[in-house]
Amino acid sequence: MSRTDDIARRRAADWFARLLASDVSEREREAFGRWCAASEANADAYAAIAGDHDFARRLADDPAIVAATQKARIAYAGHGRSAVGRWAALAAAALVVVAIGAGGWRLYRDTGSTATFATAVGEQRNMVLSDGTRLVLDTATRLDARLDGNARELVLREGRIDIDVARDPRPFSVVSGRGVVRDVGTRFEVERHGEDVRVMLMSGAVNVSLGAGGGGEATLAPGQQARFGADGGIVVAEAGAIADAAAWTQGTLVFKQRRLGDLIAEVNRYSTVQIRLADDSLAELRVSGVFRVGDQASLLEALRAGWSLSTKQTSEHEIELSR
Amino acid sequence: MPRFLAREDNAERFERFVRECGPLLARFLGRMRVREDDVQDVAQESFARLLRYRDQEPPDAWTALLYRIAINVVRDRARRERHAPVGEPSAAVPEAVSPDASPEQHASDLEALARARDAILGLPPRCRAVYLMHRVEGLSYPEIARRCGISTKAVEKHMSHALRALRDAREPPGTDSR
Repeated sequence: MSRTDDIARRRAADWFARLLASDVSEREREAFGRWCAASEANADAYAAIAGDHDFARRLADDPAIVAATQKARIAYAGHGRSAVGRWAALAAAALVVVAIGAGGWRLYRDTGSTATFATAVGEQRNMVLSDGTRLVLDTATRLDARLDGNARELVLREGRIDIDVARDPRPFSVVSGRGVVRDVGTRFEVERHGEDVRVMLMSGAVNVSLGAGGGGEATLAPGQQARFGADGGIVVAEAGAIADAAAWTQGTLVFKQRRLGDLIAEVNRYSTVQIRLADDSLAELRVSGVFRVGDQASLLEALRAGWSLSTKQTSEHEIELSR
Repeated sequence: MPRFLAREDNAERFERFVRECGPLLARFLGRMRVREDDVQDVAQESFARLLRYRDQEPPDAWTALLYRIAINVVRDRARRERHAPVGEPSAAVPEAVSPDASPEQHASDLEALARARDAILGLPPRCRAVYLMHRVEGLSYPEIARRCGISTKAVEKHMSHALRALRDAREPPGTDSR
């Protein structure tokens, strides 16, 4: 290959990568046209690069490629620095050992290091901590886990987790916003969006207490939930059907006569494509149904068919719902 | 790009794309020395071939694809004019390998696929992640940038690097087959 061809190949790859971006200006396209027309070699090189990219689409089902894609998704889950992603990948690798070989887990048990876990939008992940505690991380969740010789502590930064606490002499607690949830062998759920935190108990007993900015304490019975925010006290209420509320851990969302506004808010958490209501009155519509987490298409289909609503893709990241 | 996009939404978008890109493509073809009275035909054929990709590739990728298709259409026509008697069907280079390819074609495809796979797996980790997120998951540059914690410009650079590696794997530099 001559030097000119090599340059053409490089430039062709640059151009193709540029033209795949969503912000290509008309001026750039003109410049590309000039480059392409400048020599046969340029146009050939471009067609070849584009052809290879097209060809590579056929690798989408290749097991090695699928595995590499999955690995990349975990390692680069987003939410700021990639170091967090690497931590998550490392920690996830350690947890696999934990889940497979019972002998191996002590290796990780008393290191006292903090592991950070993160899920991407639309992603859910099941994990087992080294003490045997089972976690389900919901969409767009960030969590720090620290297990040392004296305590087991999780810090929920954002999102939702379902926790099935393993029996262990060390106390187990979840810090979220202003509050701390202390557990006595049980299954519960903690959800955090900004400063608003909700704790729901499935079985056993938990104690919720607030630190800074006005104390307060509550002990929950199964089926109860506690809410608190940036200020004020703890509000305890009945959570309703436990099975429905925890359905998300099985990948479904169960709604019974709930506001459409609430349903959309919930579903939007699982997607980078956001559904927007064309007018506020729509939010008050009552809807029921069981939806697969992340299956926006079926939901929209159901709303079109069952509630005679119409949908329109208004931008790459937004779908408008109207009457 | 979400794969659930309803067909009619995509169809609408494609129509808009054709309207917007028509004049640009015509100018591009003019530059490529396509005769003025052939420009409309070539443009039409290019869009027709692009239509096959409408539901397979995210709209962001249509522009890059369209140019490639246009180049191929121009090449096919030139070849036809040179070699084939008028009216004979062209031996066009297909944009995608047809499903009913011969066994020989199939075997060489498998080999090429294996080479492409090895090229991708051999990329540096972040570059590989960027390429796979785009090619397999269909994510846009901004979304990939967010996940990897890098700029969209950096995403573009990784894409370019990966594309070159794929090309080198298919046709190693130094063994020019043309």
